[in-house]
Amino acid sequence: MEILEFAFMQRALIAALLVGLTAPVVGTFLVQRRLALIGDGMGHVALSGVALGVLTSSSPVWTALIAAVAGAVLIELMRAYGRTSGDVALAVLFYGGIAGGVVLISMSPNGTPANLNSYLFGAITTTTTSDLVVFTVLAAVVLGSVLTLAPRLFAVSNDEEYARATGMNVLALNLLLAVLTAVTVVVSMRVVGLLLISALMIVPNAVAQLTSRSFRSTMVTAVVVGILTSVLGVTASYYTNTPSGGTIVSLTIAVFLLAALTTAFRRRLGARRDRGREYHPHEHGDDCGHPTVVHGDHVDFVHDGHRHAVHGGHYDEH
Amino acid sequence: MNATGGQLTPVVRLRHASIGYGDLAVVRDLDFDLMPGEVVAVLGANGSGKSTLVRGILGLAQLQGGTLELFGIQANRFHDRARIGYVPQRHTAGSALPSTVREVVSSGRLPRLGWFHRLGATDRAAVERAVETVGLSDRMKTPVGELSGGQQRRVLIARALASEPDVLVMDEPTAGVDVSHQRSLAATLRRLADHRVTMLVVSHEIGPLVPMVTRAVVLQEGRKRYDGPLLSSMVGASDAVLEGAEHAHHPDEDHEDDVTPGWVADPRLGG
Repeated sequence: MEILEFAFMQRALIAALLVGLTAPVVGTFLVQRRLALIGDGMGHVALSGVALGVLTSSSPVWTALIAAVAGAVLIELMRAYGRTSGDVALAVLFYGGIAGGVVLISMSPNGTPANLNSYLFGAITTTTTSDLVVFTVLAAVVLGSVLTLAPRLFAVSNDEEYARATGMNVLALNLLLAVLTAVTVVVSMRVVGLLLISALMIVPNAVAQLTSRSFRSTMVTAVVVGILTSVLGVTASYYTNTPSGGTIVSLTIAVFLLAALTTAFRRRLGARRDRGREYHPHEHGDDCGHPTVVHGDHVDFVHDGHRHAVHGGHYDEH
Repeated sequence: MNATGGQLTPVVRLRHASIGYGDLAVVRDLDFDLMPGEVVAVLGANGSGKSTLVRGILGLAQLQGGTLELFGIQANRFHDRARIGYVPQRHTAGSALPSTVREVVSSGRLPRLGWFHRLGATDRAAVERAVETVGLSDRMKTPVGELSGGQQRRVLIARALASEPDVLVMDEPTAGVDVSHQRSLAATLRRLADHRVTMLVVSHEIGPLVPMVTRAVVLQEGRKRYDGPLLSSMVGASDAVLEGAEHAHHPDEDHEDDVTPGWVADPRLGG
Protein backbone atom coordinates (compact mmCIF):
# COMPACT_ATOMS: atom_id res chain seq x y z
CA MET A 1 0.00 0.00 0.00
CA GLU A 2 1.32 3.39 -0.94
CA ILE A 3 0.36 5.07 2.32
CA LEU A 4 2.76 2.85 4.23
CA GLU A 5 5.63 4.40 2.29
CA PHE A 6 5.26 7.65 4.20
CA ALA A 7 7.06 7.72 7.53
CA PHE A 8 4.44 10.02 9.07
CA MET A 9 1.72 7.51 8.12
CA GLN A 10 3.67 4.64 9.65
CA ARG A 11 3.94 6.63 12.87
CA ALA A 12 0.28 7.63 12.76
CA LEU A 13 -0.81 4.02 12.23
CA ILE A 14 1.32 2.74 15.11
CA ALA A 15 -0.05 5.52 17.33
CA ALA A 16 -3.58 4.57 16.21
CA LEU A 17 -2.91 0.97 17.13
CA LEU A 18 -1.77 1.99 20.63
CA VAL A 19 -4.82 4.23 21.08
CA GLY A 20 -7.21 1.59 19.79
CA LEU A 21 -5.74 -0.89 22.25
CA THR A 22 -5.57 1.21 25.43
CA ALA A 23 -8.53 3.61 25.24
CA PRO A 24 -11.27 0.91 25.21
CA VAL A 25 -9.57 -1.06 28.03
CA VAL A 26 -9.60 1.94 30.36
CA GLY A 27 -13.05 2.84 29.04
CA THR A 28 -14.53 -0.50 30.08
CA PHE A 29 -13.93 0.34 33.74
CA LEU A 30 -15.09 3.94 33.29
CA VAL A 31 -18.39 2.80 31.76
CA GLN A 32 -18.82 0.23 34.52
CA ARG A 33 -18.22 3.00 37.09
CA ARG A 34 -20.75 5.17 35.23
CA LEU A 35 -18.09 7.81 34.67
CA ALA A 36 -18.29 7.77 30.89
CA LEU A 37 -17.62 11.51 30.63
CA ILE A 38 -14.63 11.80 32.95
CA GLY A 39 -12.14 11.21 30.11
CA ASP A 40 -13.66 14.19 28.35
CA GLY A 41 -12.84 16.39 31.33
CA MET A 42 -9.29 15.14 31.48
CA GLY A 43 -8.88 15.99 27.81
CA HIS A 44 -9.94 19.55 28.66
CA VAL A 45 -7.38 19.75 31.46
CA ALA A 46 -4.67 18.28 29.24
CA LEU A 47 -5.21 21.11 26.76
CA SER A 48 -3.82 23.58 29.30
CA GLY A 49 -0.77 21.35 29.59
CA VAL A 50 -0.35 21.24 25.83
CA ALA A 51 -0.63 25.03 25.67
CA LEU A 52 2.02 25.44 28.35
CA GLY A 53 4.28 23.19 26.31
CA VAL A 54 3.69 25.21 23.15
CA LEU A 55 4.19 28.48 25.01
CA THR A 56 7.45 27.39 26.63
CA SER A 57 8.61 25.53 23.51
CA SER A 58 8.94 22.29 25.45
CA SER A 59 7.41 19.00 24.36
CA PRO A 60 3.64 19.34 24.64
CA VAL A 61 3.30 15.60 25.29
CA TRP A 62 5.13 15.85 28.61
CA THR A 63 3.37 19.01 29.77
CA ALA A 64 0.03 17.44 28.78
CA LEU A 65 0.92 14.33 30.77
CA ILE A 66 1.74 16.38 33.87
CA ALA A 67 -1.43 18.46 33.57
CA ALA A 68 -3.68 15.47 32.90
CA VAL A 69 -2.28 13.36 35.75
CA ALA A 70 -2.49 16.30 38.18
CA GLY A 71 -6.04 16.97 37.00
CA ALA A 72 -6.95 13.30 37.42
CA VAL A 73 -5.70 13.17 41.00
CA LEU A 74 -7.49 16.42 41.82
CA ILE A 75 -10.74 15.18 40.25
CA GLU A 76 -10.64 11.90 42.15
CA LEU A 77 -9.85 13.56 45.46
CA MET A 78 -12.72 15.99 44.91
CA ARG A 79 -15.01 13.06 44.20
CA ALA A 80 -13.84 11.26 47.32
CA TYR A 81 -13.89 14.12 49.80
CA GLY A 82 -16.08 16.74 48.18
CA ARG A 83 -19.75 16.93 49.02
CA THR A 84 -22.47 18.43 46.88
CA SER A 85 -20.17 21.10 45.48
CA GLY A 86 -17.94 18.41 43.92
CA ASP A 87 -19.94 18.44 40.70
CA VAL A 88 -19.55 22.18 40.27
CA ALA A 89 -15.87 22.01 41.20
CA LEU A 90 -15.36 19.45 38.41
CA ALA A 91 -17.06 21.77 35.92
CA VAL A 92 -14.81 24.65 36.97
CA LEU A 93 -11.73 22.48 36.52
CA PHE A 94 -12.82 21.25 33.08
CA TYR A 95 -13.74 24.64 31.67
CA GLY A 96 -10.72 26.24 33.30
CA GLY A 97 -8.60 23.65 31.51
CA ILE A 98 -9.95 24.34 28.06
CA ALA A 99 -10.18 28.13 28.47
CA GLY A 100 -6.64 28.32 29.81
CA GLY A 101 -5.45 26.14 26.94
CA VAL A 102 -7.03 28.28 24.24
CA VAL A 103 -5.76 31.55 25.75
CA LEU A 104 -2.21 30.25 26.32
CA ILE A 105 -1.92 28.85 22.80
CA SER A 106 -3.04 32.11 21.23
CA MET A 107 -0.42 33.95 23.30
CA SER A 108 2.39 31.73 22.10
CA PRO A 109 4.43 32.81 19.05
CA ASN A 110 4.10 29.30 17.54
CA GLY A 111 0.37 29.05 18.27
CA THR A 112 -1.94 29.15 15.29
CA PRO A 113 -5.59 28.22 14.96
CA ALA A 114 -4.42 25.32 12.78
CA ASN A 115 -2.31 23.64 15.42
CA LEU A 116 -4.95 24.27 18.09
CA ASN A 117 -7.31 22.38 15.79
CA SER A 118 -4.89 19.49 15.45
CA TYR A 119 -4.61 19.18 19.25
CA LEU A 120 -8.37 19.28 19.64
CA PHE A 121 -9.41 16.93 16.82
CA GLY A 122 -6.29 14.99 15.94
CA ALA A 123 -4.01 15.07 12.90
CA ILE A 124 -2.06 12.29 11.25
CA THR A 125 0.98 14.37 10.41
CA THR A 126 1.83 15.45 13.95
CA THR A 127 3.15 12.28 15.62
CA THR A 128 6.93 12.49 15.97
CA THR A 129 9.26 9.57 16.51
CA SER A 130 9.93 10.65 20.08
CA ASP A 131 6.16 10.91 20.68
CA LEU A 132 5.84 7.35 19.49
CA VAL A 133 8.44 6.10 21.95
CA VAL A 134 6.67 7.89 24.81
CA PHE A 135 3.26 6.61 23.67
CA THR A 136 4.52 3.02 23.51
CA VAL A 137 5.92 3.17 27.03
CA LEU A 138 2.78 4.84 28.38
CA ALA A 139 0.48 2.35 26.65
CA ALA A 140 2.51 -0.52 28.09
CA VAL A 141 2.19 1.00 31.57
CA VAL A 142 -1.58 1.38 31.18
CA LEU A 143 -2.14 -2.14 29.84
CA GLY A 144 0.22 -3.72 32.37
CA SER A 145 -1.46 -2.02 35.33
CA VAL A 146 -4.96 -2.73 34.13
CA LEU A 147 -4.34 -6.38 33.39
CA THR A 148 -2.54 -6.95 36.71
CA LEU A 149 -5.22 -5.28 38.78
CA ALA A 150 -8.23 -6.13 36.58
CA PRO A 151 -10.07 -8.19 39.24
CA ARG A 152 -9.81 -5.37 41.78
CA LEU A 153 -10.65 -2.61 39.32
CA PHE A 154 -13.67 -4.69 38.32
CA ALA A 155 -14.78 -5.10 41.95
CA VAL A 156 -14.51 -1.36 42.65
CA SER A 157 -16.17 -0.34 39.38
CA ASN A 158 -18.94 -2.87 39.85
CA ASP A 159 -19.87 -2.11 43.46
CA GLU A 160 -17.78 0.52 45.19
CA GLU A 161 -19.55 0.27 48.53
CA TYR A 162 -19.11 -3.49 48.67
CA ALA A 163 -15.44 -3.12 47.81
CA ARG A 164 -15.03 -0.66 50.66
CA ALA A 165 -16.88 -2.93 53.09
CA THR A 166 -14.52 -5.79 52.24
CA GLY A 167 -11.53 -3.65 53.13
CA MET A 168 -10.30 -2.86 49.63
CA ASN A 169 -8.38 0.38 49.24
CA VAL A 170 -11.06 2.01 47.12
CA LEU A 171 -9.45 5.44 46.99
CA ALA A 172 -6.13 4.02 45.77
CA LEU A 173 -7.84 1.98 43.06
CA ASN A 174 -9.96 4.95 41.95
CA LEU A 175 -6.88 7.18 41.86
CA LEU A 176 -5.07 4.56 39.81
CA LEU A 177 -7.92 4.34 37.29
CA ALA A 178 -8.04 8.14 37.07
CA VAL A 179 -4.30 8.35 36.45
CA LEU A 180 -4.46 5.59 33.84
CA THR A 181 -7.29 7.50 32.16
CA ALA A 182 -5.13 10.63 32.12
CA VAL A 183 -2.20 8.71 30.65
CA THR A 184 -4.49 7.28 27.96
CA VAL A 185 -5.68 10.79 27.15
CA VAL A 186 -2.08 11.76 26.45
CA VAL A 187 -1.38 8.64 24.36
CA SER A 188 -4.44 9.57 22.26
CA MET A 189 -3.82 13.31 21.90
CA ARG A 190 -1.95 13.21 18.58
CA VAL A 191 -4.18 10.90 16.61
CA VAL A 192 -7.62 11.35 18.19
CA GLY A 193 -7.34 14.83 19.68
CA LEU A 194 -8.17 16.06 23.17
CA LEU A 195 -11.85 16.76 22.55
CA LEU A 196 -12.59 13.34 21.07
CA ILE A 197 -10.47 11.04 23.22
CA SER A 198 -13.33 10.12 25.49
CA ALA A 199 -15.31 8.81 22.51
CA LEU A 200 -12.72 6.14 21.81
CA MET A 201 -12.84 5.06 25.44
CA ILE A 202 -16.62 4.82 25.55
CA VAL A 203 -18.14 4.06 22.12
CA PRO A 204 -16.27 0.75 21.52
CA ASN A 205 -17.68 -0.41 24.87
CA ALA A 206 -21.14 0.70 23.81
CA VAL A 207 -20.72 -1.57 20.76
CA ALA A 208 -19.31 -4.42 22.84
CA GLN A 209 -22.07 -4.46 25.45
CA LEU A 210 -24.60 -5.11 22.69
CA THR A 211 -22.99 -8.41 21.75
CA SER A 212 -21.23 -9.56 24.93
CA ARG A 213 -22.45 -11.59 27.86
CA SER A 214 -19.51 -11.11 30.21
CA PHE A 215 -17.27 -8.29 31.38
CA ARG A 216 -14.22 -9.97 29.92
CA SER A 217 -15.74 -10.45 26.48
CA THR A 218 -17.02 -6.86 26.58
CA MET A 219 -13.45 -5.67 27.05
CA VAL A 220 -12.04 -7.92 24.33
CA THR A 221 -14.74 -6.90 21.83
CA ALA A 222 -14.23 -3.21 22.67
CA VAL A 223 -10.49 -3.54 22.00
CA VAL A 224 -11.13 -5.21 18.62
CA VAL A 225 -13.57 -2.45 17.67
CA GLY A 226 -11.15 0.20 18.96
CA ILE A 227 -8.17 -1.09 16.99
CA LEU A 228 -10.15 -1.59 13.77
CA THR A 229 -11.81 1.82 13.82
CA SER A 230 -8.69 3.77 14.79
CA VAL A 231 -6.47 2.12 12.17
CA LEU A 232 -9.15 2.38 9.47
CA GLY A 233 -9.96 5.93 10.59
CA VAL A 234 -6.36 7.07 10.28
CA THR A 235 -6.17 5.46 6.82
CA ALA A 236 -9.42 7.10 5.73
CA SER A 237 -8.24 10.42 7.08
CA TYR A 238 -5.23 10.24 4.72
CA TYR A 239 -7.43 9.79 1.66
CA THR A 240 -10.20 12.22 2.61
CA ASN A 241 -7.87 14.82 4.11
CA THR A 242 -10.02 15.10 7.25
CA PRO A 243 -8.89 15.38 10.91
CA SER A 244 -8.04 11.87 12.06
CA GLY A 245 -9.86 12.11 15.40
CA GLY A 246 -13.13 13.15 13.80
CA THR A 247 -12.79 10.42 11.20
CA ILE A 248 -12.03 7.69 13.73
CA VAL A 249 -14.88 8.66 16.02
CA SER A 250 -17.38 8.97 13.14
CA LEU A 251 -16.38 5.49 12.05
CA THR A 252 -16.75 4.12 15.59
CA ILE A 253 -20.20 5.63 15.91
CA ALA A 254 -21.19 4.18 12.53
CA VAL A 255 -20.14 0.76 13.85
CA PHE A 256 -22.21 1.36 16.97
CA LEU A 257 -25.33 2.26 14.96
CA LEU A 258 -24.86 -0.78 12.75
CA ALA A 259 -24.44 -3.05 15.78
CA ALA A 260 -27.46 -1.53 17.53
CA LEU A 261 -29.65 -2.01 14.45
CA THR A 262 -28.45 -5.58 13.93
CA THR A 263 -29.07 -6.44 17.56
CA ALA A 264 -32.57 -4.96 17.50
CA PHE A 265 -33.34 -6.85 14.29
CA ARG A 266 -32.05 -10.13 15.67
CA ARG A 267 -34.02 -9.69 18.89
CA ARG A 268 -37.19 -9.24 16.86
CA LEU A 269 -36.44 -12.36 14.86
CA GLY A 270 -35.74 -14.21 18.09
CA ALA A 271 -38.97 -13.03 19.64
CA ARG A 272 -40.91 -14.31 16.63
CA ARG A 273 -39.21 -17.70 16.78
CA ASP A 274 -39.94 -18.03 20.47
CA ARG A 275 -43.64 -17.33 20.17
CA GLY A 276 -45.59 -20.27 21.49
CA ARG A 277 -43.20 -20.89 24.31
CA GLU A 278 -43.80 -19.14 27.52
CA TYR A 279 -41.05 -17.06 29.09
CA HIS A 280 -41.51 -15.68 32.49
CA PRO A 281 -39.20 -14.70 35.29
CA HIS A 282 -40.65 -17.22 37.72
CA GLU A 283 -38.53 -20.29 38.20
CA HIS A 284 -40.20 -23.55 39.04
CA GLY A 285 -38.46 -25.58 41.70
CA ASP A 286 -38.92 -27.82 44.68
CA ASP A 287 -40.12 -25.02 46.84
CA CYS A 288 -42.02 -22.79 44.44
CA GLY A 289 -45.40 -23.90 45.64
CA HIS A 290 -46.75 -25.00 42.26
CA PRO A 291 -48.22 -28.53 42.30
CA THR A 292 -46.14 -31.03 40.35
CA VAL A 293 -47.19 -33.83 38.05
CA VAL A 294 -44.88 -36.64 37.03
CA HIS A 295 -45.11 -36.74 33.24
CA GLY A 296 -43.15 -39.56 31.63
CA ASP A 297 -39.48 -38.92 32.25
CA HIS A 298 -39.86 -35.45 33.78
CA VAL A 299 -41.91 -33.36 36.16
CA ASP A 300 -44.44 -30.75 35.04
CA PHE A 301 -45.40 -27.81 37.23
CA VAL A 302 -49.07 -26.94 37.25
CA HIS A 303 -49.40 -23.23 36.57
CA ASP A 304 -52.69 -21.39 36.07
CA GLY A 305 -54.42 -24.52 34.85
CA HIS A 306 -51.75 -25.63 32.38
CA ARG A 307 -48.57 -27.59 32.78
CA HIS A 308 -45.00 -26.31 32.43
CA ALA A 309 -42.08 -28.58 31.70
CA VAL A 310 -38.53 -27.31 32.11
CA HIS A 311 -36.78 -27.33 28.76
CA GLY A 312 -33.40 -25.62 28.58
CA GLY A 313 -33.85 -22.07 29.82
CA HIS A 314 -37.62 -21.97 29.34
CA TYR A 315 -40.83 -23.88 29.96
CA ASP A 316 -42.72 -25.86 27.36
CA GLU A 317 -46.47 -26.23 27.58
CA HIS A 318 -47.45 -29.85 28.16
CA MET B 1 -31.45 -13.89 76.84
CA ASN B 2 -28.10 -12.84 75.45
CA ALA B 3 -25.83 -15.75 74.72
CA THR B 4 -22.85 -14.25 76.48
CA GLY B 5 -21.69 -17.23 78.46
CA GLY B 6 -18.48 -19.21 78.13
CA GLN B 7 -15.21 -18.17 76.55
CA LEU B 8 -16.71 -17.29 73.18
CA THR B 9 -15.46 -14.10 71.60
CA PRO B 10 -18.33 -12.02 70.23
CA VAL B 11 -18.29 -11.60 66.47
CA VAL B 12 -19.46 -8.03 66.97
CA ARG B 13 -19.39 -6.11 70.24
CA LEU B 14 -20.67 -2.55 70.50
CA ARG B 15 -20.49 -0.55 73.73
CA HIS B 16 -22.13 2.86 74.09
CA ALA B 17 -21.73 3.15 70.34
CA SER B 18 -22.84 6.18 68.38
CA ILE B 19 -22.79 5.70 64.63
CA GLY B 20 -23.57 8.17 61.91
CA TYR B 21 -22.44 10.30 59.02
CA GLY B 22 -20.54 13.57 59.28
CA ASP B 23 -21.80 15.36 62.37
CA LEU B 24 -25.05 13.44 62.52
CA ALA B 25 -25.32 10.50 64.90
CA VAL B 26 -28.07 8.16 63.72
CA VAL B 27 -27.51 5.32 66.19
CA ARG B 28 -26.90 6.45 69.76
CA ASP B 29 -25.49 4.80 72.86
CA LEU B 30 -25.97 1.25 71.62
CA ASP B 31 -24.80 -1.87 73.40
CA PHE B 32 -24.94 -4.94 71.22
CA ASP B 33 -23.28 -8.36 71.04
CA LEU B 34 -23.46 -10.81 68.19
CA MET B 35 -22.25 -14.23 69.31
CA PRO B 36 -20.97 -17.01 67.04
CA GLY B 37 -23.81 -19.14 65.67
CA GLU B 38 -26.48 -16.56 66.33
CA VAL B 39 -28.90 -15.34 63.68
CA VAL B 40 -29.96 -11.89 64.81
CA ALA B 41 -32.64 -9.84 63.11
CA VAL B 42 -32.42 -6.07 63.43
CA LEU B 43 -35.88 -4.58 63.13
CA GLY B 44 -37.19 -1.09 63.14
CA ALA B 45 -39.13 1.50 61.20
CA ASN B 46 -37.63 3.52 58.37
CA GLY B 47 -35.07 5.89 59.84
CA SER B 48 -34.70 3.88 63.04
CA GLY B 49 -30.99 3.46 62.32
CA LYS B 50 -30.92 -0.25 61.51
CA SER B 51 -29.07 0.17 58.21
CA THR B 52 -26.71 2.65 59.85
CA LEU B 53 -25.93 0.09 62.55
CA VAL B 54 -24.94 -2.45 59.90
CA ARG B 55 -22.98 0.13 57.93
CA GLY B 56 -21.14 1.14 61.08
CA ILE B 57 -20.11 -2.45 61.71
CA LEU B 58 -18.80 -2.65 58.13
CA GLY B 59 -16.92 0.63 58.37
CA LEU B 60 -19.22 2.37 55.88
CA ALA B 61 -20.62 4.72 58.54
CA GLN B 62 -18.47 6.34 61.20
CA LEU B 63 -18.22 5.24 64.79
CA GLN B 64 -18.56 8.57 66.56
CA GLY B 65 -18.46 7.39 70.13
CA GLY B 66 -18.16 4.23 72.18
CA THR B 67 -16.35 1.11 71.01
CA LEU B 68 -16.73 -1.46 68.24
CA GLU B 69 -14.91 -4.76 68.39
CA LEU B 70 -14.89 -7.32 65.58
CA PHE B 71 -13.84 -10.82 66.58
CA GLY B 72 -12.37 -9.32 69.75
CA ILE B 73 -10.24 -6.72 67.93
CA GLN B 74 -10.82 -2.96 67.89
CA ALA B 75 -12.51 -2.18 64.57
CA ASN B 76 -9.86 0.32 63.41
CA ARG B 77 -7.19 -2.32 63.92
CA PHE B 78 -9.22 -5.13 62.35
CA HIS B 79 -8.00 -5.92 58.85
CA ASP B 80 -9.25 -9.44 58.24
CA ARG B 81 -12.31 -8.21 56.39
CA ALA B 82 -12.67 -11.47 54.51
CA ARG B 83 -14.19 -12.88 57.72
CA ILE B 84 -17.20 -10.62 57.24
CA GLY B 85 -19.49 -11.32 54.29
CA TYR B 86 -21.61 -8.33 53.31
CA VAL B 87 -24.83 -8.51 51.33
CA PRO B 88 -25.73 -4.90 50.57
CA GLN B 89 -29.17 -3.45 50.17
CA ARG B 90 -29.44 -3.35 46.41
CA HIS B 91 -32.37 -4.23 44.29
CA THR B 92 -30.21 -5.65 41.56
CA ALA B 93 -26.72 -6.94 41.10
CA GLY B 94 -26.67 -5.64 37.53
CA SER B 95 -24.36 -2.95 36.25
CA ALA B 96 -23.66 -0.78 33.24
CA LEU B 97 -21.83 -3.51 31.33
CA PRO B 98 -22.73 -7.20 31.28
CA SER B 99 -20.97 -9.32 33.90
CA THR B 100 -21.53 -12.98 34.54
CA VAL B 101 -22.48 -14.67 37.79
CA ARG B 102 -18.96 -16.06 37.97
CA GLU B 103 -17.37 -12.64 37.50
CA VAL B 104 -19.49 -10.98 40.18
CA VAL B 105 -19.12 -13.80 42.71
CA SER B 106 -15.36 -13.97 42.05
CA SER B 107 -15.04 -10.35 43.16
CA GLY B 108 -16.16 -11.55 46.60
CA ARG B 109 -13.08 -13.75 46.79
CA LEU B 110 -10.64 -10.82 46.49
CA PRO B 111 -10.55 -9.99 50.23
CA ARG B 112 -8.78 -13.33 50.67
CA LEU B 113 -6.09 -12.41 48.12
CA GLY B 114 -3.17 -9.99 48.08
CA TRP B 115 -3.13 -6.94 45.83
CA PHE B 116 -1.46 -8.59 42.87
CA HIS B 117 -2.78 -12.11 43.29
CA ARG B 118 -5.19 -13.66 40.89
CA LEU B 119 -7.74 -16.34 41.64
CA GLY B 120 -6.11 -19.76 41.87
CA ALA B 121 -7.65 -23.22 41.85
CA THR B 122 -8.63 -23.02 45.56
CA ASP B 123 -10.29 -19.66 44.99
CA ARG B 124 -12.20 -20.84 41.95
CA ALA B 125 -13.41 -23.84 43.94
CA ALA B 126 -14.61 -21.53 46.73
CA VAL B 127 -16.44 -19.39 44.17
CA GLU B 128 -18.10 -22.46 42.70
CA ARG B 129 -19.11 -23.71 46.16
CA ALA B 130 -20.62 -20.32 46.98
CA VAL B 131 -22.66 -20.33 43.77
CA GLU B 132 -23.74 -23.90 44.44
CA THR B 133 -24.91 -22.94 47.93
CA VAL B 134 -27.32 -20.42 46.47
CA GLY B 135 -28.44 -22.89 43.81
CA LEU B 136 -27.22 -21.07 40.72
CA SER B 137 -24.51 -23.46 39.51
CA ASP B 138 -26.15 -23.77 36.10
CA ARG B 139 -26.06 -19.98 35.68
CA MET B 140 -22.32 -19.39 36.09
CA LYS B 141 -21.98 -17.85 32.64
CA THR B 142 -25.29 -15.98 32.65
CA PRO B 143 -25.10 -12.18 32.75
CA VAL B 144 -26.38 -11.13 36.16
CA GLY B 145 -28.72 -8.61 34.55
CA GLU B 146 -30.69 -11.43 32.90
CA LEU B 147 -31.56 -13.05 36.23
CA SER B 148 -34.72 -12.41 38.23
CA GLY B 149 -34.62 -10.12 41.25
CA GLY B 150 -34.49 -13.04 43.66
CA GLN B 151 -31.71 -14.74 41.74
CA GLN B 152 -29.70 -11.50 41.72
CA ARG B 153 -30.01 -11.36 45.50
CA ARG B 154 -28.71 -14.89 45.64
CA VAL B 155 -25.76 -13.81 43.50
CA LEU B 156 -24.99 -11.09 46.06
CA ILE B 157 -25.22 -13.68 48.85
CA ALA B 158 -22.87 -15.98 46.90
CA ARG B 159 -20.45 -13.07 46.46
CA ALA B 160 -20.43 -12.60 50.23
CA LEU B 161 -19.94 -16.35 50.75
CA ALA B 162 -17.02 -16.54 48.32
CA SER B 163 -14.56 -15.26 50.93
CA GLU B 164 -15.74 -18.06 53.27
CA PRO B 165 -16.73 -15.56 55.96
CA ASP B 166 -17.46 -16.32 59.60
CA VAL B 167 -20.39 -13.95 59.67
CA LEU B 168 -22.89 -12.78 57.07
CA VAL B 169 -24.19 -9.23 57.38
CA MET B 170 -27.27 -8.67 55.25
CA ASP B 171 -29.18 -5.48 54.61
CA GLU B 172 -32.76 -6.20 53.51
CA PRO B 173 -31.97 -9.44 51.69
CA THR B 174 -35.59 -10.16 50.80
CA ALA B 175 -36.87 -6.67 49.94
CA GLY B 176 -38.43 -6.41 46.50
CA VAL B 177 -38.29 -10.15 45.92
CA ASP B 178 -41.58 -11.82 45.05
CA VAL B 179 -43.08 -14.44 47.34
CA SER B 180 -41.98 -17.56 45.49
CA HIS B 181 -38.42 -16.28 45.21
CA GLN B 182 -38.44 -15.26 48.85
CA ARG B 183 -39.00 -18.90 49.70
CA SER B 184 -35.98 -20.16 47.80
CA LEU B 185 -33.96 -17.26 49.20
CA ALA B 186 -35.07 -18.21 52.70
CA ALA B 187 -34.23 -21.85 51.97
CA THR B 188 -30.71 -20.74 51.01
CA LEU B 189 -30.31 -18.76 54.21
CA ARG B 190 -31.72 -21.61 56.27
CA ARG B 191 -29.11 -23.94 54.80
CA LEU B 192 -26.44 -21.48 55.92
CA ALA B 193 -27.96 -21.22 59.39
CA ASP B 194 -27.93 -25.02 59.60
CA HIS B 195 -24.19 -24.81 59.00
CA ARG B 196 -23.94 -22.49 62.00
CA VAL B 197 -23.05 -19.44 59.93
CA THR B 198 -23.49 -16.38 62.15
CA MET B 199 -25.86 -13.87 60.62
CA LEU B 200 -26.93 -10.32 61.22
CA VAL B 201 -29.98 -9.48 59.14
CA VAL B 202 -31.57 -6.08 58.80
CA SER B 203 -35.04 -6.49 57.45
CA HIS B 204 -38.39 -4.91 57.01
CA GLU B 205 -39.91 -8.19 55.98
CA ILE B 206 -38.60 -10.67 58.48
CA GLY B 207 -41.29 -13.14 57.43
CA PRO B 208 -39.39 -15.69 55.33
CA LEU B 209 -36.48 -15.68 57.76
CA VAL B 210 -38.49 -16.35 60.91
CA PRO B 211 -37.62 -20.04 61.34
CA MET B 212 -33.92 -19.40 61.74
CA VAL B 213 -33.82 -16.13 63.68
CA THR B 214 -32.47 -16.76 67.19
CA ARG B 215 -32.77 -13.22 68.51
CA ALA B 216 -34.31 -9.92 67.54
CA VAL B 217 -33.14 -6.39 68.20
CA VAL B 218 -35.60 -3.55 67.68
CA LEU B 219 -34.31 -0.04 67.08
CA GLN B 220 -36.34 3.11 67.37
CA GLU B 221 -34.95 6.55 66.60
CA GLY B 222 -31.43 5.23 66.85
CA ARG B 223 -31.83 3.58 70.24
CA LYS B 224 -32.32 -0.03 71.19
CA ARG B 225 -35.85 -0.69 72.38
CA TYR B 226 -35.85 -4.46 72.55
CA ASP B 227 -33.30 -7.24 72.58
CA GLY B 228 -34.55 -10.78 72.98
CA PRO B 229 -36.38 -13.64 71.33
CA LEU B 230 -38.35 -12.87 68.22
CA LEU B 231 -41.97 -12.21 69.10
CA SER B 232 -44.78 -13.20 66.81
CA SER B 233 -46.00 -9.61 66.93
CA MET B 234 -42.82 -8.56 65.11
CA VAL B 235 -43.39 -10.75 62.08
CA GLY B 236 -44.66 -8.80 59.12
CA ALA B 237 -45.25 -6.04 61.62
CA SER B 238 -46.12 -2.54 60.62
CA ASP B 239 -43.89 0.26 61.78
CA ALA B 240 -46.43 1.06 64.48
CA VAL B 241 -46.14 -2.41 66.00
CA LEU B 242 -42.35 -2.25 65.92
CA GLU B 243 -42.44 1.09 67.69
CA GLY B 244 -44.59 -0.53 70.32
CA ALA B 245 -42.12 -3.35 70.78
CA GLU B 246 -40.56 -1.67 73.78
CA HIS B 247 -43.65 -2.70 75.70
CA ALA B 248 -43.43 -6.30 74.62
CA HIS B 249 -42.19 -8.95 76.99
CA HIS B 250 -41.42 -12.59 76.62
CA PRO B 251 -43.62 -14.47 74.23
CA ASP B 252 -46.66 -15.95 75.86
CA GLU B 253 -48.48 -18.95 74.60
CA ASP B 254 -51.58 -16.88 73.96
CA HIS B 255 -49.68 -14.58 71.61
CA GLU B 256 -49.64 -17.32 69.07
CA ASP B 257 -53.26 -16.91 68.17
CA ASP B 258 -53.61 -13.20 67.91
CA VAL B 259 -51.10 -12.35 65.18
CA THR B 260 -51.14 -14.05 61.81
CA PRO B 261 -49.78 -11.43 59.49
CA GLY B 262 -49.55 -12.37 55.85
CA TRP B 263 -48.55 -15.79 54.70
CA VAL B 264 -45.68 -16.36 57.05
CA ALA B 265 -47.32 -17.60 60.23
CA ASP B 266 -44.86 -20.23 61.28
CA PRO B 267 -45.63 -22.76 63.98
CA ARG B 268 -42.01 -22.66 65.16
CA LEU B 269 -42.40 -19.02 65.99
CA GLY B 270 -42.51 -17.85 69.56
CA GLY B 271 -41.95 -21.34 70.93
